[in-house]
Amino acid sequence: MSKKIIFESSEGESFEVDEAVALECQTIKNMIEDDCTDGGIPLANVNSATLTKVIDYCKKHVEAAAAAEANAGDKDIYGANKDIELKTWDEEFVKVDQPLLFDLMLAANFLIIPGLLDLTCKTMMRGKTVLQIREIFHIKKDYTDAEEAEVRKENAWAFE
Amino acid sequence: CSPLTSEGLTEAIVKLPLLEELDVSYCSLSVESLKVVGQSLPNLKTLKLNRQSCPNLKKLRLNSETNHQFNDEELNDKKALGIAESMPELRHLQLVGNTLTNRGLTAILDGCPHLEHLDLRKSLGKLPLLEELELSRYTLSGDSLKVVGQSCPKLKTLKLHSLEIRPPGYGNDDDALAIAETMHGLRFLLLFGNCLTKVGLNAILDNCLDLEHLDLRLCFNFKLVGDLEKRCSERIKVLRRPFDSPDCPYDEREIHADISDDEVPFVPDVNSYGVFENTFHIIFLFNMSSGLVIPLYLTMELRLYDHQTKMASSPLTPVMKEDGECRNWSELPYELMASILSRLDTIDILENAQKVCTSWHRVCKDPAMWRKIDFRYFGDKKYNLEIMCRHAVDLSQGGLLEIDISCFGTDSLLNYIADRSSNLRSLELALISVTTEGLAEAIGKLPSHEELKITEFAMWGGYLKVVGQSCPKLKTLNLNCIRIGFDPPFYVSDDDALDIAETMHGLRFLQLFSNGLTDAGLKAILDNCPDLEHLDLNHCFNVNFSGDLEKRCSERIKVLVRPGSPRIFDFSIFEDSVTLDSDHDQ
Repeated sequence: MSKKIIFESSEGESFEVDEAVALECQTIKNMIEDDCTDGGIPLANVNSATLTKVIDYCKKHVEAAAAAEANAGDKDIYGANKDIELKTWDEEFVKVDQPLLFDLMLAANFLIIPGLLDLTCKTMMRGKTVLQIREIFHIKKDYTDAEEAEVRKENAWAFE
Repeated sequence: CSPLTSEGLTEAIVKLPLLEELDVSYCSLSVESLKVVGQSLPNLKTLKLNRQSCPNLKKLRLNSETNHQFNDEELNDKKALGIAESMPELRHLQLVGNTLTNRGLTAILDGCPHLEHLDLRKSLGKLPLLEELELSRYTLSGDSLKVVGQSCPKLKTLKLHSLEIRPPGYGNDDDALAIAETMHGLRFLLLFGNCLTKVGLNAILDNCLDLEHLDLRLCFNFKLVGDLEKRCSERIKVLRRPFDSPDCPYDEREIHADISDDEVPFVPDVNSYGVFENTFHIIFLFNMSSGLVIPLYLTMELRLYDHQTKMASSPLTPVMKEDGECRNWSELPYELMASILSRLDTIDILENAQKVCTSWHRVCKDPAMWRKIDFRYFGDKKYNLEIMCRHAVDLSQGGLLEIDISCFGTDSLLNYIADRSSNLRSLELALISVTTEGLAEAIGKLPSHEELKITEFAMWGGYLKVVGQSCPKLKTLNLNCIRIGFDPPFYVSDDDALDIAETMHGLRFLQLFSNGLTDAGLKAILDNCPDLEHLDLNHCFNVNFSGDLEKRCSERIKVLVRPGSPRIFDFSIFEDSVTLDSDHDQ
């Protein structure tokens, strides 16, 4: 019988998870090691919707790691089917609206879940143009025209 | 496929005036003679000899696998003319990786009236007379297939072998629609491992009215049942179904239980090694041609890593809080922003992220962002990667630890890196445009080097010793040998192994892919690399673990990958060579 850890979302809702799942979060891992998890872990900056997704992610990756271990005999470094399956799962996992993705990114950063942080960052920014990024992240251009021209000059590697 | 020299070959052919089949694709000729054969116009010598000595030659394979010099149209046409003049009885011609124009092909067609089969993988220029085409690779985009279809109105036979057999779920009808649109005269169509769905198949059936032979083995994205099956069986005389292949790794029932008519993405938990093992041979052909500049080749697009970019296609909605207020990302703390941005690919940082706003620009200028530079999976051709890479190296201000330039590195870039990155620990490169001399020079400047990954496309030899001597701290060596004609078991040489044993005593991780080493070489490595923990000898078929080697390996080595292990070479290098070609072209 594995030990359970209780998370509390910003709304005060409780989530019970296996210790193995909670260990996916480096922050929680540290807390467990310091033995200060009794009575639940309040996560004041993670809401219930986000926390549900985070726990889903950790569960899936714990299971995948366990399955990979079980098949260690015929392990394949260059892309086992398990990997593909997990990758597909990840792709599906991040098909959420932008606010939730943003919250997931922050939660991954706060809880220190490198895989999830990677996944969310890449999903939000990979292959997007400057204008798209500004639009998604609602960033106003604060370059002056001269500065922008300077940046462009310093990065002149595009073929005409 | 025995070790013979060009002199030997010459001699042998003179003595065999009745030779009907000549295959020089896989002769393990010495480096020199291979170069001679390659440079002095592939096999022109041989061809002349053929003319004198083999008037009855009926089958000829000329696969341009060795070098980068075959991109001269003139030469290849001359070769074609040579063939046409000298071998009137030729029936079967395979010209893989040659650049041939109409003129050459016409000459062949005129000169060889008995020609029955022509295999021009990667040789296609403009060939309006072509009737049969065989392409053994997958990365051809639908658009370039259209070009093929448009330039070959007489095409009757098309064979498309996919290199990349994907599990079901990656439905893509580009190929099928291109075929349906442009190749109305097809009679014989082979789509091995294609991703087409029932939409594509229906389009082909609708548009290729003369189709008689249809081979759909390993095409898993449709169910051949109901109307579709009825149409196929009524129209097609010879039909090979997706699951006909003995190589098929999937169980039919398992797949069909899970594919609904709506093509729900599904990745089965089964093993697809069988297919890859069988197509290994073809992979080599593809690879060797990657150094060539071939008209068709330049229109190729990258597919393999498509699914990664698809991840980026989420909708463009600004990030809103629940109350509608927008978050301003430019105000995030520096550390958090750095942590987020450092996860992006080099190319995204340079091209996009740093141009977004001044605070991001500041983050991107931080040398801490540039400890690791990786251009590996980048397939866009519109940038000069070398300039970009130099810029990234400058930004690292000497703090660079890891870099992967296997898809575009040159000697000058490598030395630029070496001059500025004395802390470099890990380097990954391919000996395409980086030479052994360049590598030796650069590696001399990197005493703290620990990890080296090299992909070889030709026989070089000798340089490993220099590498070992210059990098006393080397812990990881990854040597992928993709040397056509020098693949075990046909090629036997312990040179690499002995160089490693002699100079790299600190190795912990050693991967030798498709190396010619034997048990003697393995023994030398075990004797001299006491710290070795991980040993990967995949495709090193000359290793038999004789004597006490089996025991020594199992005692000493924690992870041992045996020669026949079900693994394939990392494909990304092929993908990236496309970028290389186009860059050089600019």
